[in-house]
Amino acid sequence: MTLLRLVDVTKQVSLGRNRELSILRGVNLDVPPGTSTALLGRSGSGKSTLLAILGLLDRPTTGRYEIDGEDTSRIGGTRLARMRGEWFGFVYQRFCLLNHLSAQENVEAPLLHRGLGRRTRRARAREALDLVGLGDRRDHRPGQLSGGEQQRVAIARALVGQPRVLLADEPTGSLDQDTGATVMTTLYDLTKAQGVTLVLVTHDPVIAQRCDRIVHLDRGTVAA
Amino acid sequence: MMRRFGESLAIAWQGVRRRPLRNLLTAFSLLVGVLAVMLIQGGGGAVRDAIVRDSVLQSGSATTLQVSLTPQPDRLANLTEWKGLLSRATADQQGRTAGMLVADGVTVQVGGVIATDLSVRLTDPDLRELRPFPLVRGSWLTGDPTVAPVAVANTVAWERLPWSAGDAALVIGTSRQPVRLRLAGVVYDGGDLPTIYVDLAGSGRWAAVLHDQAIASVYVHSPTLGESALTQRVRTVMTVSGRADEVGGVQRVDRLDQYADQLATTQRVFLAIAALSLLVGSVGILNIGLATLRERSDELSLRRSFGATSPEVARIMILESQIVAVAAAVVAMVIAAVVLPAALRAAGPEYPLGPPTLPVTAMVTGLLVSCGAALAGALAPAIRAARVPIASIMRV
Repeated sequence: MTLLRLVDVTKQVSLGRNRELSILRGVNLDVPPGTSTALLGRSGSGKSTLLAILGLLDRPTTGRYEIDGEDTSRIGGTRLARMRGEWFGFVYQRFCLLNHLSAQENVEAPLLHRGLGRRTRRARAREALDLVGLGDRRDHRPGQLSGGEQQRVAIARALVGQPRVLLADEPTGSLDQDTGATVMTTLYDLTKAQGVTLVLVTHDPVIAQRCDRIVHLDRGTVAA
Repeated sequence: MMRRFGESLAIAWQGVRRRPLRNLLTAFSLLVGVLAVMLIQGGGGAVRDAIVRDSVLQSGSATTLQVSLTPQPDRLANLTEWKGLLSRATADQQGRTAGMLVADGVTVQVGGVIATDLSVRLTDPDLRELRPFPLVRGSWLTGDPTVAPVAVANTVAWERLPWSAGDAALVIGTSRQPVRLRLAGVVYDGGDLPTIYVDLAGSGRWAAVLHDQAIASVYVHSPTLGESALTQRVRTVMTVSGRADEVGGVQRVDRLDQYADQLATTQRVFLAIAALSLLVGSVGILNIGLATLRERSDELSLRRSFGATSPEVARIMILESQIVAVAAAVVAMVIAAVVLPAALRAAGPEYPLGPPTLPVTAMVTGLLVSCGAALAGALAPAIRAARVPIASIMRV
């Protein structure tokens, strides 16, 4: 059973003057539901681009991307946006929190696009912050939180919409080793507990080891 | 649909809160333009009202005809008779008539001062039905028979001549035949010349003094009939009564039509100035919108990753500008509501018909143009914002 499937996916970007750069070259990948997958590779191997395609942030140049058996190339822009919001939660290397909003408001932010009432949004955001252990910091702004706390707010934000898949792009890349380990524990535990599929980009084999499966990327292709 | 709009509004409000100083400056640039529009429209309206009001006071509202009577031995009796006859012409149209003897060139003494340029107009109280003179002090003519004829001065005559308090003494004619009048009140008649209106009812004894110097007219007004229809009716009345030979002429005297072009030109000039001010505000928003787009691209990509569609992102950008526009318009309304009446009091007509206030139309126009200018300025940044690549969030 496959939740996400990539078939011969390529991604090329134009460099101008008829020059193109191939980032992904014929990638095939199956992601079963409820599992954790680590995309491991050096810088420039195409990990983040692959993650962007998986999260519907980008489209492949060629090839097919299926979500739950549905070919995404046939889905229009509006539905694709809704799917992006409902299916996926994102955790980024540099947290990408909105500095002018409190932790609570940052966690609520994805729910503002889901047609939920204010009370429901607040309750769910509080619940998510409690899950990551930051229930008492909900009124704090990102600038008043440590790096590890900011990433935990980002995890709460990614999970608050109850996504089917959580995509994390080097979530510990901006953190020290101990804080990174704590954040990863939070990430693994919560995704396992909620049955969320995890796809994780990292270049750290230790972090990748904790996943159910490791996919090595090398110069735009799946190495093993 | 409404919930989606509410969500966009909430996000837009967060965006406005994020950059308070920048939005304050944007609002200020809009505020200047909107304030100009409100003041121009409100002030322009007041000027227009003043012009129309003065025109109505001086020559009557549309349609008013002056029926001039040819010289007759007993002009006063003829005037009353003609007024009665001509009132039939508009009896079924809520029309009004008023008789008047204009006695220019009569020597008048007020408090010992000879006022050679004072215009003396013998009339009946109905004149104020045709020309609604605002009463500045005292009372208007009553038409009641009195021993001493009653007069009402216009504000120019009141200010220029040394009227004494209470019953002022006025002497008309030669020193051998002085006629004392009682000053009953003062009105604003929109004119620049010193004038007194004397009640016909008490003027019988001294009207003969005027001899052939006076010009007798009856003013006929109909709020519903046009010039040609009213003229036709007046001529029919003359003919039927068999006294057509006593009429010197019939002419339209209200001048609102003549002012129409002048008012339209004035309004166009005012609008052009307001449009220029708004253009500046709009370009300011465009400039700030485009300048901030780059620094906002991360936030916009993040919103897209949450599931926002391109039109929603554009809507958020536009709503942000609209929040600023509404805030600017509200502040402009408050300022205009204080400034305009003060300016009108300082530079406006001396005897306004009512207290100067900011018209509701000016407020509504201000709000609309503020939102319109903000929309025009926000459109290009909003379209660009909708095109921000979502995947760029991965490279932050």
